[in-house]
Amino acid sequence: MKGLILKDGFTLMKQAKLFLVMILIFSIVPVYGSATAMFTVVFAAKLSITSMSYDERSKWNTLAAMMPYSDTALVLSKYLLAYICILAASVLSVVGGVIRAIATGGVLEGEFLIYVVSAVCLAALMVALVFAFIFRFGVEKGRLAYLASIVLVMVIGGGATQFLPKLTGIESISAAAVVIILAAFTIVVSATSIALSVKFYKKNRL
Amino acid sequence: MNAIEINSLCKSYKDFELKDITFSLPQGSIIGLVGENGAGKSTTIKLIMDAIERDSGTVTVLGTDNKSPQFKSVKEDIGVVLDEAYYPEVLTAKNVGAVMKNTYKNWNAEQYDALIKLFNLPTDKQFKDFSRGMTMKLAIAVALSHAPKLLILDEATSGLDPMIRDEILDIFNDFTRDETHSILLSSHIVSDLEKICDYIAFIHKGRLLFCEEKDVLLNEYAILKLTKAEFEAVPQRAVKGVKKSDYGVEVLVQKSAGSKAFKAEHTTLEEIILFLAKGDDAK
Amino acid sequence: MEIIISNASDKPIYEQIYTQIKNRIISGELNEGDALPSIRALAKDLRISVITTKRAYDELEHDGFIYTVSAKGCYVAQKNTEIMREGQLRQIEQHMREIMSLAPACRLSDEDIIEMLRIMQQEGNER
Repeated sequence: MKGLILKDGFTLMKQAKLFLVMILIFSIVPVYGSATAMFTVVFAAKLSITSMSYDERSKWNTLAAMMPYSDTALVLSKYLLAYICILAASVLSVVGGVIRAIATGGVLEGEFLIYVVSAVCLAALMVALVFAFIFRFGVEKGRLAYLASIVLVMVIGGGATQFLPKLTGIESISAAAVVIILAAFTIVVSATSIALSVKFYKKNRL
Repeated sequence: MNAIEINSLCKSYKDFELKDITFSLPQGSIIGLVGENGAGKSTTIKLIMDAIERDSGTVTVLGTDNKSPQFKSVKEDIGVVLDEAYYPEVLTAKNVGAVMKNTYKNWNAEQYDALIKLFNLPTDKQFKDFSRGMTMKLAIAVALSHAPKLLILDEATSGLDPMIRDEILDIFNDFTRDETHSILLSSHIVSDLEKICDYIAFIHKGRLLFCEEKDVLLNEYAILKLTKAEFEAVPQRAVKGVKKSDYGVEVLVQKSAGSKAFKAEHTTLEEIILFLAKGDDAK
Repeated sequence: MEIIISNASDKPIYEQIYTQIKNRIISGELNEGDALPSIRALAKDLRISVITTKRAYDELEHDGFIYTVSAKGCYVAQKNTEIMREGQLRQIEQHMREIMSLAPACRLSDEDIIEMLRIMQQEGNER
């Protein structure tokens, strides 16, 4: 598994550096709150798709089938890579936030952390959606799923914070609770997505 | 023991069918898989490695059924070079070494470095800038560097210039100095296979026309150049292929099935295969 | 030890190896107990099939020119080579006797016969 992650790491090195620098700039330069977090989402999903398109172009999957890897390991490594990217991006956002807080002499607001956590969840949701799609239909169509998922995640993200309190009828529902619900939802969706992807991957071996 | 044992292997696609392939590769020897492009060589190789699902038949590799759960660990002992599947193109030889170190338990970094040096490959160049020869050499270096017992090479020498081809064939030849080492080598370049193989398996349009010891083939078959009258006198059961022209008849004969008195021209594997393929098409 | 394999020869490769090793043993170039290269090493060095090399060694062993010590290798046998040499000498003598009986009818002198042999040898070398 480490070999697989390493392979993708080498593949993405250039893009990753560029993205990380951008994230750092975004989080330090004061833009409005959730911009950084949203950027994390887009970034993580985009990187993983890039690595998949490199794989497809080099027919890596055929070669990998010759190596002592199970199909599950090959699929899992892609998810793991995405989660690593998301994690790295969110840590950087937090670091950026701290730096900004120190520079402006303020404190890091709790709200900011909630933004970051929910962004992580949304990123994972996006990955879950796009990956299942890619493993089933290939990278080319996966790009469409990526665009669709951006819209979808925005709607879900926006909806969750906007409408959930109204739906439940409790105006005072805390942002934290929303985040917890979102996290649970993310975990369920991700697990389903992984299971589906493994199934698709096996089927695609024809 | 057989390094590879294939029995009645079948696989059908919409527009192509691999039908009833049966052959085995005895440990310590080299088998050449010959056939035109699209004959089913790559499909056979993928089926051997269980990279694609077979329809029916059995495949045993290094004593293990390739559908058994143990096959994953058997893959540690198999070095594979594929015709058209590579590492992502932005990787360098150094990167590939690091990835493989974390892929194969028996990875030998020193041997890999030595091979990279021997092949004159740049360590820090992204391999999208490699020539086909360099790409193949990189893949061969990887295949040889995890202490394999079996090498499976799909068109590993095609597209390379003759000098490099010879160099690589020498490496394969040396690999089998150890009697536990075996090689399956596919190619449409028959002369390469003629140089180093012990056995030749000929796949034509998805079917195995023969699998035979190379030297037996060369001794068993002969090409006769005859007049039409002389051709009539040749026993039909000895005739395995005919090429007629206005000036005479070229016949591929099986010596054991006819008279030993044929004044036969020395044949090459390529001629035998061309004749047999044509004979098969005519059926 | 030199062994020359010709792909253009009519003779099968195993026979070429067989003959060349046999001749070296009979000529005394290889002596009793001399180790022969292993089948695999010889095959790989000559770039020929292991199966073919094995067949040549099997024939040599069958005809008593060499013997195999399992897990160690193949060695030149002595006893039979003396007999083989004797046998070949006897064959040569027999052919010579035939020559002697045929020559007078063709009015060939001893010198003519020797000259004939020289010419044939030369032709053989050129080939």
